[in-house]
Amino acid sequence: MNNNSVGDVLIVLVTGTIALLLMALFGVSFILYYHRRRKQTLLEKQTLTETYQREILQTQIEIQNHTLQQIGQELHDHVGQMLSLTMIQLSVLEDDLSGTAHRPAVRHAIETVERTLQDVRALSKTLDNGTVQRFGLKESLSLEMDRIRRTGRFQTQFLVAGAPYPLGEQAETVLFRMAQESLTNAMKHSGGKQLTLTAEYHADFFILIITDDGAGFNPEETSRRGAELSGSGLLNLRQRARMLGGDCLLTSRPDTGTRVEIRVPMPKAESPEDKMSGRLSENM
Amino acid sequence: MPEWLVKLSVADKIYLLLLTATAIILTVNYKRVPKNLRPLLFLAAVHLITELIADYIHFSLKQNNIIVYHFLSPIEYIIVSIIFYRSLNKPAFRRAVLLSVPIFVFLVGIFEYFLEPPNHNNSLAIMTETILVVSWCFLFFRGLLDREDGYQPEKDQTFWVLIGILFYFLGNFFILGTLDYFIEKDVALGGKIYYAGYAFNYLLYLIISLTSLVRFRLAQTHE
Repeated sequence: MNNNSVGDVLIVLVTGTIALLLMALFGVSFILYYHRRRKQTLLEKQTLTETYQREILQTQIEIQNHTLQQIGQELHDHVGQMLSLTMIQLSVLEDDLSGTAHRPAVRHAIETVERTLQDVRALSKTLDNGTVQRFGLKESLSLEMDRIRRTGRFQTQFLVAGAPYPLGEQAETVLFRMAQESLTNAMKHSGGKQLTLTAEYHADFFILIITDDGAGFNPEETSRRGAELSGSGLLNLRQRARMLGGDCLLTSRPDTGTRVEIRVPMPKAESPEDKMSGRLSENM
Repeated sequence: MPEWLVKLSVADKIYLLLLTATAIILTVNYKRVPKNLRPLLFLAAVHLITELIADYIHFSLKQNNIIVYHFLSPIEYIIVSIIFYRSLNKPAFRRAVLLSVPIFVFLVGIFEYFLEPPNHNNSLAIMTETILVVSWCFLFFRGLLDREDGYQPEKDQTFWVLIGILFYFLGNFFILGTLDYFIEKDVALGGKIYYAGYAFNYLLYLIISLTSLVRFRLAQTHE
C-alpha cells in the first residue's frame, strides 16, 4: 500500500467516523424526541378523557340532585299536604265518634298517618340538596341515619372522629349522595341488621366509612360477572370519589359484611374570591 | 483476476467488496427484507455494475468514465423513489414522489443537453436528486411523529435505512456537488474530497447490510 492509498483510506476513515457520529446523533435525537412527544400526546389525551369524564359525571350528579330535589319538594308539598289534610279529617272524625267503639281505630289511623307524615318529611329532607347546604355534611348524615333507624328494620350507628371542617358545598353534596347510595345498597343487598357510618376528619383528608354486618360477597367474582350483572354502583362511587381527587375502596368477604371507604383530600384554603362568592350565595 | 481490477485504489476495492457483500446479503435475506426496502437490492446491484463499468473504462480503456455516472443518477433516483413510495404513509406524499420521477428525468435531460455534457461531472443532477431525496426523508420522519399506533422507530429497519440514505445523499450533495469546482481550483484537494465521499457510500451499505442481518422486532407497517 503506497502513501497515497494510506492517505485516501485515512480521509475515508475520518470522514466516515464524523458522518457515523452525526448519523447516530440524528437517530438517537429523533428517537428521544419521538418518545417524549408521544408521552406528551398520551398525557394530553388522558387529561382530555379525564376532563370529559369528570364533566359527564358532574352533569349526572347535577341532574340527579335536581331530580331528587324535585321529588323531595313534591313529597313535602303534595304528599305531605295530603297527609296533613287526612290527619285533620281523621281528627274531626275522631271527635265525631267520641264515645263509640270506632274511636280507637280512628286514633290508630291518625297515629299511622302522623308517623308516615314524619317519615315523608324526613325523606324529603334527605332528598333535598339544600339540606346538605344548609346544615352541612355531618348533620345531614346524622339525619339520614336517624331516618333509616326509624324504619325499624336496621340498627344504626353514626360516629365522628376528629374536629369537623367544611369540605365545600359540592364535595359535601357528592359525599352525602355517595353515603346514601352505599347505605341503600347495604339495605337492599346485605341482609344485615347493623349499619355503621363513620366520618373521620383528618388533617389532610376526610374518610367516610360505611359498614354493614350482612352476608358480604366476593368482589372479584362479582366483577367477573361483567358490567351488566355486577352493576355499576361501585364504578360510579369510584368515579365520584376521583372527581373529588380521592378514591373509593370496597372490601368484602362472604359472611363478614361489607365495608366501603371513601377517602378525599381536605379542600385547599378558599381564595378571597371564593369566600366572597360563598357569602353572596348564602345571602341570596 | 483482470489486471484493471488489481489497479484499483484501496478505497475502490473496499467499496466493491462492500457492494458485493450487500448484494449477497440482500439476495439471501430477500424474503425477510420488508417489501418497501426490497429495491435496495437493485440499488446495490446498480451501484456495483456502475462502479465496475466506470473502473473498467478508467483503468482498462484509459478513458473518461464520467458518462457512466450520468446514467446512474436517474436510475438511482427511480429506485430510491420506489422505496419512498412504499415507505411514506400519506397518499399525497406518495403521489408527489411518483410525480417527481418524470420531472427529475426531464430535468436531467435538460442539464445534459444544455449545462452538463457527458464529459463533465453531473453536479446539477446530483444536487437536484439530493434535494428531492432529502425532502422525502424529512416527509418520512415528519410522518413518523404523527403516528399513534405504538410505533417504535428504534425497532424499525426502514427508519435506520432511511437515516443512511439521508446521510448518503447529504454527504454526496456537498462532495459531488462541489467536485467540479475543486478539481478546477485544486486537483489535490479535489482528490481528497472525492475520497471523503467514499465514507458515505460505506456507511450506507454498512447500514443496509447490518439492518438486513439484524432481526427487527417491529412488524413493518409502512406498506
